[in-house]
Amino acid sequence: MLKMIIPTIMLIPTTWLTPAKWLWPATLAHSLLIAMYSTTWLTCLAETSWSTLNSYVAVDPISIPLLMLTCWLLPLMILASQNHLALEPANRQRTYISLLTSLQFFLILAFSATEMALFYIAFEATLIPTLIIITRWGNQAERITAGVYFLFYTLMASLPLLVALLVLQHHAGSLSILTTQFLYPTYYTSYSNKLWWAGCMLAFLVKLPLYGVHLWLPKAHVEAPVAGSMILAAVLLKLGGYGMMRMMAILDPLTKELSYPFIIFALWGLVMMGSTCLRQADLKSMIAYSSVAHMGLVVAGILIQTQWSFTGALILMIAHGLTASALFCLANTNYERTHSRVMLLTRGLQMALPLMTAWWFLATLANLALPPLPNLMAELMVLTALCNWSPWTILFTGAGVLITAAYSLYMFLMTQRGRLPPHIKSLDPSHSREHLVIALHLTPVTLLIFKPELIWTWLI
Amino acid sequence: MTPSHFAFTSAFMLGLTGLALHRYHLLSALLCLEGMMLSLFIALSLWTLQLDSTCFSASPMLLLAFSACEASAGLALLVATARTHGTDHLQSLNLLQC
Amino acid sequence: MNPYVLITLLFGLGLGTTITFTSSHWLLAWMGLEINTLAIIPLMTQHHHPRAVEATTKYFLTQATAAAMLLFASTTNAWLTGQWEIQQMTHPFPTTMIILALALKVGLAPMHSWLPEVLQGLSLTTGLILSTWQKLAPFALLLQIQPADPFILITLGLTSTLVGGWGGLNQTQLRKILAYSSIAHLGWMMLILQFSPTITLLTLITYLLMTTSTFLVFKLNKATNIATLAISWTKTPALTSLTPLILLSLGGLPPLTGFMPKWLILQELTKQDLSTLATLTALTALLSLFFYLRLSYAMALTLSPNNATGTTPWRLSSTQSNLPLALSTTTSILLLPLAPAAMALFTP
Repeated sequence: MLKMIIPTIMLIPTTWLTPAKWLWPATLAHSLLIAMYSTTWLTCLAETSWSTLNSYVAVDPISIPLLMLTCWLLPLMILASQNHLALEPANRQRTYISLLTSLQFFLILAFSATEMALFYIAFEATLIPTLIIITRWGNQAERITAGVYFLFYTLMASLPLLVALLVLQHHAGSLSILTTQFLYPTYYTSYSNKLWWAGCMLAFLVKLPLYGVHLWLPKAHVEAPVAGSMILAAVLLKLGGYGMMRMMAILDPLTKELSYPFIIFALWGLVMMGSTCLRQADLKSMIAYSSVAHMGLVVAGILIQTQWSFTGALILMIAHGLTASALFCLANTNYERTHSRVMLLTRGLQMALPLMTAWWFLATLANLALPPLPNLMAELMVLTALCNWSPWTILFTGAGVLITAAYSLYMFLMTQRGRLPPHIKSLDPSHSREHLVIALHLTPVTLLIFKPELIWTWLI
Repeated sequence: MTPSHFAFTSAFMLGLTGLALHRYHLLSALLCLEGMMLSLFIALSLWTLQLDSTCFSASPMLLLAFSACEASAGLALLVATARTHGTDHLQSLNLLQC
Repeated sequence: MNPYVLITLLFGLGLGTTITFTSSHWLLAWMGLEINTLAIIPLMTQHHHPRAVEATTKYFLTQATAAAMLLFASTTNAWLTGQWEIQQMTHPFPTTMIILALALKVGLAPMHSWLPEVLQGLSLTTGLILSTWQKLAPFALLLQIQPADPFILITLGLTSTLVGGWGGLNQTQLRKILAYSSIAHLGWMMLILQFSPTITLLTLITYLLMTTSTFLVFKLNKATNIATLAISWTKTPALTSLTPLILLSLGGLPPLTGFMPKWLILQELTKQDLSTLATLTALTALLSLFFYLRLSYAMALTLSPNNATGTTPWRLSSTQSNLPLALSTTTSILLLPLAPAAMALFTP
């Protein structure tokens, strides 16, 4: 693990000591090297349980895909942010890259921690860099509200998690993920144990977010600069799913009776958030709501705790991470040219940026889960597991899938097809840097078609 | 509770009540403080008398010395307040409220 | 102020606290507290300004009352049990009264209303002394007595965290905000006092470090309200970008130092089967976090619109030594990984 963590930390000296002219290429190369090196984790997938174990960190087939996603995202964020930071002073650019790097450091710690306390600290520690990225580099004045919402929603739910974890530590004597799953389940019936269960779950449900506690997410996404949106959609939300998967092993007997309201919220959210997307005028906010809808499936999949649903949730997290991040990048390319997120004002871009339309098309298809893509694999697995759990869920999941297809196509048609509106006179042509960013997002999604066991090893 | 204990306790409590509830003049607050100190002086002196030993007999004097210092600091503040605020009414000490 | 007088007064401050630290007899402890109060009063009024005089008067009245109550309670204790030792308090009535007197002395809710007003009237240096050094002597006493009734400490603590968070919400004056932050932190210390005095001490030390760095930052920028803070980036850009971390550390966000005492306190509270109390206290910390967050927003995370004259205030190069600021800032940001060492350091 240190082979990943130390290079990540050393990225900060790289950022501050490189001459300003070489700042972006150097950090990009360095982070790409880290991302390349992270592929060595794939060899650990052959083993079915923990590997590279030491006293604090280890990886297993659940965390390896998420860790690789984290490492993969950093070079993409650096690539994507180049344009909108180009006019800033060099020191602010360096601060920005350092924040992104610290985020990656804390995320690696969170995903590989073997101790719930370390996980909690890393989980919370991602708040500060994200908050600074959102509120310092956001565009509108509403970013202040977005920052407050982001911080306080998360903290309001995660402080009870801290107390719940401490209670667990007091009763079980340890918070190690390696051992607590073998605990004899002693917490059964009493009222306080139910509260304890809710305390353990709530922080992750808010982080994912579950429908009902999702209000911070669209605000944060809309106000954040492109790298903030990317990391938020791709990895930070997945922290919630990952935490739920880890906690499920401990919470076992209580979940069976207490999870119903949350599954209902998740499935209802799938439909509601999809419908909200159908009438969104704001491109980024639409992608954000689509994330909430997809995360509803993840919540439902994790809460019913079958092997298929867990695996489906994991695949969905990875596939959605790459897809949503690509969509945010695309939205940002539009935003940098037209300075508007409103879909009514940025229509017919196929005429202006034809190659970008190809990327939009691919990303949209990935978002609506076209057959061979891993998105479909994930949705099918979760849907099947849910249908097996209770046939009535097919009403919600079916409607959800249908609406997802509808709003994805709506997004594509609104932004790309039709006549170019008259106020769009001269757009910059698309840069190869932008094509590279999108290609680096969508290539892994496509390649995963051929070797999906990289992200579902957990099933076997 | 012996009568003497009761006497100094009630004297102290009266002083405290006066300080807490009668908030008109700064001077009256200082007088209440002084009354509290004197009741403590009586308490310490009685304790020494009861003990019939000299090892604690300096304590009332120490207390008196400190309370004199405190009273003089209080009177100095009274003068300072009168000069800056023009009055010694406690109600007029309201520059720092929000 | 005449340097000889200043030195005498500073020695008086040190002497008072040291006497209180070293005493086992209530009379001596009281004398230490009195010397302390008498020494800081001339320091507070050194600028003969109505606000300073008013603050001093308020401070004098509360401190004198608290000291008198303390001595009265210890005398009563002697009359009731024949015991003058600080560590031998057995009777519940004097113990409760002493706790209340000390709470008045450090400014715990509901005896807190003097603290924001007094701090608002002082210069930042004196304010720093008042909110760091002056807390030590009362806490030395609080750590030594065994409370009879746990209820009173928990009530004091919970009220203080709540009032400290609530009161700071609508303040724009930095010193008042710091006063309320002090009330909230003292509340945390009181909560844990009866279960683990070690953690109280640790919390006190980390609080002192964090509040010192905050005061020094404000002093360097000569800032007493949020509006002045908003243009600090023109004077000290690097420090301005670090200050949000100090403030969020005061608010107790991981992975900063401020999380360490909160974590340990919550852990100890859950060990005592007080998880509801722990959750409540943790949530009241969010109230405080809100105004720290607002300070960070105003200071570093947004650039407020200013006219050209507003951003270039008249200033001279600072003669303030940078070492204390650097040390306290570093420790108030990066101490969390050293939590086990810190615990080991304070465990008797």
